[in-house]
Amino acid sequence: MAFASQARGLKVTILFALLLALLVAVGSTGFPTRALAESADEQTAEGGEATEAEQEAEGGEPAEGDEAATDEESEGEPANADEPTAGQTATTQPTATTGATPLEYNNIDELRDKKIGMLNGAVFDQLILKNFEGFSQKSFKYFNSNAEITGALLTEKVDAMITDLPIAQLTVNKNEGIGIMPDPLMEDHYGYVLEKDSDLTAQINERLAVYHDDGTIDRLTQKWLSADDSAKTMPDMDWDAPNGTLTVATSLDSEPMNYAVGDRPSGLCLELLELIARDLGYGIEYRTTNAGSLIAEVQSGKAEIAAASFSITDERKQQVDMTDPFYDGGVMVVVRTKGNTESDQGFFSGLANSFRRTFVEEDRWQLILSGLGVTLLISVVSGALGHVLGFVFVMLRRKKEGGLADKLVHLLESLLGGLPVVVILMVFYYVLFGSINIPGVIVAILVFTLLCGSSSGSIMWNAIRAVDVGQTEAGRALGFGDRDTFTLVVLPQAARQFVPLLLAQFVTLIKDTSIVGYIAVQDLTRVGDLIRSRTMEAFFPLIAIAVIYFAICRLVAWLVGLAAKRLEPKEGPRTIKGVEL
Amino acid sequence: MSIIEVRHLRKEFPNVTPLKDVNAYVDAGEVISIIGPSGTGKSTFLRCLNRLETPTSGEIIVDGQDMCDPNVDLDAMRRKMGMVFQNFNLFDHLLVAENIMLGPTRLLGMGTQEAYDLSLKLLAQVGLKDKALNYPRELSGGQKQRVAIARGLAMSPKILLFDEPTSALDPQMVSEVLSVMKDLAARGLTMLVVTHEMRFAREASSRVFYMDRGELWEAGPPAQIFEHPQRQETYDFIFRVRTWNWSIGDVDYDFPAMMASLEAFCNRQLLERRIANGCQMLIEEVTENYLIPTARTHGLADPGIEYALSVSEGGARANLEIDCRRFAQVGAGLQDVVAQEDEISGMLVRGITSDVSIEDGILRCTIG
Repeated sequence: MAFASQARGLKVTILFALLLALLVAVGSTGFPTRALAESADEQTAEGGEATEAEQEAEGGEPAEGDEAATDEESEGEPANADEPTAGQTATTQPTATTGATPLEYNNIDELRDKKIGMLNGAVFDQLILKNFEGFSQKSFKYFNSNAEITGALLTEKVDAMITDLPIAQLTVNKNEGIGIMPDPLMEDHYGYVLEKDSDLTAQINERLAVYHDDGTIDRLTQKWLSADDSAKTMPDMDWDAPNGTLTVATSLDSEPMNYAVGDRPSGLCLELLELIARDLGYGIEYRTTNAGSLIAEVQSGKAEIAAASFSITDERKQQVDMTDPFYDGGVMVVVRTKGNTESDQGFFSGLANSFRRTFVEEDRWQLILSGLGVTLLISVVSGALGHVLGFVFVMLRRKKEGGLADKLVHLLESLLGGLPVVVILMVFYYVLFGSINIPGVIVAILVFTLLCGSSSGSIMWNAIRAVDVGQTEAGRALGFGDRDTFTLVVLPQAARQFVPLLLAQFVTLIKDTSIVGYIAVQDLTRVGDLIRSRTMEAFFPLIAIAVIYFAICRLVAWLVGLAAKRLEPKEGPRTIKGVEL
Repeated sequence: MSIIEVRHLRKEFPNVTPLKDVNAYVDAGEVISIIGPSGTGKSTFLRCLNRLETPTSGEIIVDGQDMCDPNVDLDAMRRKMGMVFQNFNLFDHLLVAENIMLGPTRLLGMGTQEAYDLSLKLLAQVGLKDKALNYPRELSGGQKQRVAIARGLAMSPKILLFDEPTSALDPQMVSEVLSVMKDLAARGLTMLVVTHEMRFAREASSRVFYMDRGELWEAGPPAQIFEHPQRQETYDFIFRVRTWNWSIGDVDYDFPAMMASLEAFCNRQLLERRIANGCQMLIEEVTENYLIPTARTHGLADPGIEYALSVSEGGARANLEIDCRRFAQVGAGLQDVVAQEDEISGMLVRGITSDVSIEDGILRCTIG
């Protein structure tokens, strides 16, 4: 009996996983698949192969002059609806690679009633509102990474993406079906962000001036903006650092300025900063976080420098120090190209490409594993500590109902229960521990321990109170003290109720931890974001992460089911420990 | 010397004062039944004795120890007095044997095997030796209560407190619990029993406490309380008169409904079985074998018979009145019922009741 139902649980799990895998497939090959092509070269090389694969998938519609394919005609029912699709694929393919496809919009004025996507924390919205008529705050949608904006653009959730020249170029190169409007919105200059009135600002400016003059910046710009990825490596950080270590906050989502190759923070912005730090006698330690949190990192003193594509503006200068520019670019508008809605890649080769990019390239599977490790670390540790804390809460409340401890626990519960978890997390990280250098993982564990403790505490408390008061009276009347009555009589009965609930809560905890990216912890979700920003692929990594979460949660839920079963009284001959019956 | 002494015991709750001023003593080996109307502090009194309730004021001396002394070792005192609850309160997560073993192993330092053997011995005493390895939820109410008694006995208490031990039981399970309790009473254990079972109070207890409105009105041997109560309150409670009324307005009446109603009344009034059987037989004989046939012979479609059965003395006596005045209108005499010695009805009636009188068409008799 028991085995049968366990096996059924596993079967259901597998079935769900298969369903999700199917979703991945559909998600990756449906309309948004234009995101798949990585570069023009690759596309051309794979063109023939892709067409074949597609034909197989569509039931053997023969390609012109392809004799091998005609053999399969009798097996597959040629679907009429697919005919034009195949034809279109064949004709659109050459044009897709030329880059001369007309754009949906050619001028910023055409975007008046449209949605414009931009990075959270960037100042492009102010730029447009100030310089162009007919836009309002409602015209903008804000995202946490360029990959997200690209995804939104491709799925028509926004109609334009405003970003800096280098990113715009890379994005258009790596995704099909989008192009850059010819005219920049404005010229733009990037600088590093430091704490207001920092001593370092002048020193950095001095070095920047030197590197401008001797051509170093030009050399670096050429290196990082070139198409040749193999040259884009960072030098080792092996210089002496007599003046100590600078903490540099950066988001690894803006190729080619600041991004990650493997797990090494790389890019023009970072290499230049490392050169300067070496000159000044400082070592560098990176903290990675969301683009939107970078300035907060500096203001709260968690980092000395924020290094990313920060435009130099007067508004920013009032809040923080900004160095002289290290890069002069422009603000560009990226929009969709007209027509061109069909994928030019086959179903399976597209999937395989996405898989390779997401997991294999640059050993990203290691990144995913480490993210998974962080997720599990936070969940397991705060789950375990939380249950202990919850039990402590229960014991405190048991001391005296309505007493001080009871009221405190109640207050904590209502406080934690009345705030979004992400807000609590950020308050702890940036406010409560703002001035202490404490790893984000520790803060995350602390916050989730408190949350888990408060909810598991009330689960236990309710289960304990649900045990009939007569049980306590019977224990006391036999002559057991308060504690013995609790541990021998009440707790075992309450545990039957609350243990399965607590275990199930662990699944919730795993999912809840997915927000720790907000405080610069690289968990599974955050790693997925990073990979998306590297591959510039909007969908596959997201769904891959979803599948991993799903698998983990189902696995835990299955284990919980097993544990709950063990708690039930056993069938078969009954025994009493230490007694010969 | 008294094993329990209670002086000026008072217990107040925020809205109600169940105990006003209770004074009592219990000698070792006594079996005390505490009777009285519902909600008059009987259970509160019992729960104060082992301090499940904390008295507002007064003194409770158990075995020479003041239970209200802040320094008293309550746990140790409670081990001397077991308690049996209305709702059994068996530990649902433990086997029956484990329920009984828990106290001796954890509190008396008894070995597991020894405790198990003890539990089997006690279970045998209450007739449940084969249920040692069952969970409480697998037992009937009566069986649960017997296990609870065994659990109390396992601590070898000097005193056993019973808080309405049969009130939550179906009628057929009451007797199995009462017989176990009677057995204990006969073995000299000091027992205090809050109960509504008048028969148990009468037959098994050495003294009866009558409690009402927060006070102990009268304490005395069952013969005194049940036959010659000294206080008006006790008299009213013991001799509360209850009546069963029924009328037959058609010769084709609903006989089963009438007998079912009568039986329910007898059960509710805790009428002794002998008396209840007598009443039922008498009414059935007189009605079915005489009254209804007579009414039919005389063409009396609506016989208009009225029955009134009243119970007194805690179920030891019943008075029956049968009003058949309409029979006189058609010239049928009631005398025939008792007069004809060779008739079965007549013999039966005289066998069950001794004092039958017939006056103005009304038959009166006493049963018991």
